[in-house]
Amino acid sequence: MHRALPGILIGGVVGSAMRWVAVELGAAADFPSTSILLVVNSLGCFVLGVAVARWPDTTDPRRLTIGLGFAGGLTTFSALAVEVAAGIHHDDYSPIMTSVLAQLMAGVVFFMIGRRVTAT
Amino acid sequence: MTPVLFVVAAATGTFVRWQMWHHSGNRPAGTLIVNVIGAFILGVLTAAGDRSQAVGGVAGMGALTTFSALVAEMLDLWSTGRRLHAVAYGMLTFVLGVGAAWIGIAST
Repeated sequence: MHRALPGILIGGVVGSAMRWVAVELGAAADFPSTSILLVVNSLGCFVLGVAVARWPDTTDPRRLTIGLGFAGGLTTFSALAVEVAAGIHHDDYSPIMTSVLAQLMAGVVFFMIGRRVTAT
Repeated sequence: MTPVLFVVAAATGTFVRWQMWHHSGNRPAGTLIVNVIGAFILGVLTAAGDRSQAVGGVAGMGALTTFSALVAEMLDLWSTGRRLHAVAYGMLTFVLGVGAAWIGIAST
């Protein structure tokens, strides 16, 4: 068994659980699902930026646990893809395109912030 | 959703994503494949609208797919001078992912 596997699995489960809590809390507060996705995806990109800068070796078990496991579990692409597909189905092109661009821009910005604050 | 099912689904999704990343040699192809497959399955589960959507969708497909790796890989391509590859990778992921989700929804 790969020595990093337990950490990767624990990180993935914890990240997924945090995303589920965020989705439940957001739904209870009537936040749009795209806004909740924006928050968890941005936070996950920040965490991955920190992990990449803190542990440059891609095989470092700590980077795999935090970056691949936790940040990967916290963020999601499938929910975003389904939101976009559903929006296209309902001819809501403008909000969907705005959401996709916002997700990408926020992801890039938060990843770079995470990398920058860790590198300095 | 029971905690045990959630943990099993999330751990399985994470394991498959790690294996794809590992066997693709840390290249974007692995992330692209899991994101497209995960989008398709979540589309099927969402259209089915039953209890499986909660476990398989939120935990399993959420853990299988990743947005952070997509962004990191796009930035890596961009910063190493392969800017066309970065843009193409991002566009391909969204087009194939949304298309797969659409097919998944429509097929149920």
